[in-house]
Amino acid sequence: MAGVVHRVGGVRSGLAIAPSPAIGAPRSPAIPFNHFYASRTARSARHVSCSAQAMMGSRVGRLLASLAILASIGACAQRQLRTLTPPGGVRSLDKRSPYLKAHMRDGRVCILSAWEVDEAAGRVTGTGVLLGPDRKPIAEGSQTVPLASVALFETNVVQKSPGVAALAVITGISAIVTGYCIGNPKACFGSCPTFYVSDGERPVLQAEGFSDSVAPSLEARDIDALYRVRPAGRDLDVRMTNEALETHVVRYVQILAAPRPEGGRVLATQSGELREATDLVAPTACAAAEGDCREAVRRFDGRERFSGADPEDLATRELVDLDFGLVDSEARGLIVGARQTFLSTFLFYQSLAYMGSAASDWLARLERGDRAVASRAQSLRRALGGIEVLVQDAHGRWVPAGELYETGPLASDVKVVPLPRLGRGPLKVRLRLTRGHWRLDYLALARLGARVEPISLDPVEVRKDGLVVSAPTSGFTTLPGDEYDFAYRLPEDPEGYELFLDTRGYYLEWMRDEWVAEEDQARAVMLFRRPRRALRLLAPEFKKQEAGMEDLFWKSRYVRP
Amino acid sequence: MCGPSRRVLAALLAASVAGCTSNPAPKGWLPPAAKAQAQGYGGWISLTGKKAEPAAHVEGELIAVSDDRVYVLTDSGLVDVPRESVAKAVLAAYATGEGELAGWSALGTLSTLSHGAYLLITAPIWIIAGITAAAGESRAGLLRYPEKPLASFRPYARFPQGLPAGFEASALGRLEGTQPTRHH
Repeated sequence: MAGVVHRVGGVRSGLAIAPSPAIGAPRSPAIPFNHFYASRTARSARHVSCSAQAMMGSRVGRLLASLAILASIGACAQRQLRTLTPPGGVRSLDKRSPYLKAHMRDGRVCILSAWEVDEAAGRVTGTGVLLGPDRKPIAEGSQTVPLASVALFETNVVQKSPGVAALAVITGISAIVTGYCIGNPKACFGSCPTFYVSDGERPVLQAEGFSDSVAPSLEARDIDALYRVRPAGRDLDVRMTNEALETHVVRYVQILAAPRPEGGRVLATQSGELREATDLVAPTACAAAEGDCREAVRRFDGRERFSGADPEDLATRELVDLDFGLVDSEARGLIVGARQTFLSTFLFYQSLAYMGSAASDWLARLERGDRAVASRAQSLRRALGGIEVLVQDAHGRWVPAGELYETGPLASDVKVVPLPRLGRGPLKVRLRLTRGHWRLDYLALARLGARVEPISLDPVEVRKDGLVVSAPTSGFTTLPGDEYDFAYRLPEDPEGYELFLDTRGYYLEWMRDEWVAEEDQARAVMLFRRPRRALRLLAPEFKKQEAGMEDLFWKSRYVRP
Repeated sequence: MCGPSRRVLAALLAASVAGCTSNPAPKGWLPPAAKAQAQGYGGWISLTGKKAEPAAHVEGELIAVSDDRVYVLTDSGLVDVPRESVAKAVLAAYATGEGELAGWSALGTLSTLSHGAYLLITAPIWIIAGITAAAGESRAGLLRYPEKPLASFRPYARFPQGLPAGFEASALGRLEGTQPTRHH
C-alpha cells in the first residue's frame, strides 16, 4: 500500500531558512543611502556639489560581498514534503528521505538515518535514536525495529523553495544591472528637471528644463514648447520630477499661453521669440546618408531619424537634405522637433569623471567668474555644434539660415528657424549636424506670421506628495526622487492657446565613486582646450556603449516621449 | 537614504507584513524543515472553540487527532478537545523563513540604488517578488481548519497513529519551551 503524501500549505509547501548574519546586518556597505541622507540633511546644492565624491559609493567589492550573502540565504531555504506509510507499504518508502521515523504502536518513535528495510525478515534497521512517548531518549546507536511493532512510517523530503529560486533569479538579474551600471554609470543616470503634462490621455514627458545650466553661474531661462499638450479644460497640471542623481534649483516654473492663429500654431525661435505659424507642410523629400528619411520626420510622433556617431571622430558632421517643392515669397520657417542623443550626456559625465576629485575646484573657478574656464566650459558644445539650417539660393549655394540647439536627451523640443526670403521658387533646405548627436522627430515648413506676446501664468497651487506647499521666493531645491505638482489656471478657450513651459534654474550633478576612479586631469584639460582631439580619442569608448544607451535608458523610464 | 528609496523600503516591509500569514507558534518553538524531519514532536496547533464552548482558545503541541477529539499538550497539560466544538484551527508544522525572505528582498531593493534610472524597473520587481515570496513562505508551513479537515493534521501530530492504547497523559511530560534539537 502506497503512502499518502502530505504537502503542508498546498502543493508548494513551506521552506525554512537558517538565520543568516546578513539579515541582522542593518545596512549593506554597498548601499550608499547614508550618503543620500547626509545630502538631504544639508539641503544645500553647493554642499552637495562639494561633497560630491562621497556620493554613490557602491564599490564592486562590497557589492559582490552583499550578493554573496544573499546567495547564501537562498541556499538554506527549504520546504518539506511529509509522507506517512503503513507497515504494509514499506516497499514504497521514499528512499530520498534521509531519516525514517518509525512510529510505534506504543507511542515510542525510532528515528533512523542510513536506514534499510528487510521485508523478508520483517524489520527495519539503521542508526539513530529510540525516543519514548515523552520524547526522551531510550536508546541510541544501531537500531532494529520489527515491522510488527510499527503503526506508521514517516518520511520527509526537504526541497529548495520555488520562491527562493525566483529571488535568486532576480538577484542574478539585479547583479547584472548593477555590474552594467558600475561599468557604465554614464548610461544609468539621467539629467535635468523633467516635466510631465497630459497629452489628453496620459501624463507624457514633455520637457526638460535648463539642461545646459550645470552650475549656479550658468543659471538660465529655458522655454520648451508643450507641443503635444491637450488641456481638457482650463486646469492644467504639470508634474516636475528629479529623476537623476542631481540637485535641482528651480527658480520658477511658469506656463506661457500664446494665442494661436486660426488653424495654425505658435512656435519659439532659438532666441525665445514666439511666432505665428500656419500652413504647416511636410517635406516632399528627405535624404540622408541612409537614404529616404521622410517617413521618420513627417509627424511629431516619437518616430525619429538618427544616425550613429563616427567611430573615429565624435565631431564628424552629416547632412540631411529636405525638399519642399515650390513656395511663394512669403516668410517661411523650418520647424524642427528634435532632441539630443546620449552623446552629450556621455561627454558631460566623462568630463566630470576626468575632473574627478577636482571637479568642485573647476566649478568653484567657474563660480568665481574665471572667464577662461567659462569659455572652455562651452568648448565641447561648440565642437559638437547644433543643428545648422541652410537654404539653397538661386545659384545653388547653401546659405546659412540659423542654428538650433536644445540640450538634453529626454524630451524633444519643437522650435522654428526663420528662413531668408529667396523669392518664389523651389525650396531646398539642408541640415548640417554632428553624426550620432541628434534625433530628428519632426521637420516641416510653415508660413511665419507675426510675433506673439504670451500670457505668463504662475501656478495657482503647488503640491508635494499630495500636500499643498508654498512656493519659496528663492525657488525650489529638489533632490533625487522629489516630485512637485504645479496647478495652473488657463485662460478661457484654452484650445486657442499654444502652451510653453518657462523655467529658470540650474542643477548640480552628483559625483560618483566610479567616476572619481577615472580621474585624469590631463584629459580633463584636453577636453576643454583641445576638444576636437578629445572627441577623436573618446570615439571608440562611446561607440562601445552607443547602441545600448538609448534603448536601456528608455526601458527604465515611466513613459516614452 | 533618499526619499523614494525610503518609501520603497517602507512599502516593501509594510506589504510583506500585510501579505504574510502569522504563524501561531511561539517564536523559536518550531524548528526549520530540515531539523523537523529528525525530531519526534508534533507541530504547534492553535484551536478556537465555538462560542458556546467554555474553553474558547487552546494552543500547544499537537499530540494526536482521533475521529472525535483533538489532543493538545498545553502549558497546563494534555487537553482533549471534541472535534465538533472546534470552530477554527491553525497548525504550524515547522518554522518558515518569510522574515529572511523579506530581509533578502529589502536588501535587494536597496541594492537597486546602484541601478541609477533602472531602479524604476528593478526596485518594483524586487518588491513584487519579495512580497510574493514572503507571503507564500508564511503560508507554506501552515494547515487551516475548516479549509482542510482536521484529519489532515494527523501527520504533524506527535502520534500520527493516534494515542497509544492505555496511554497516560502524565507520560507526555511538560510542554517544552522549544523543541529540543537532536542531530544524528
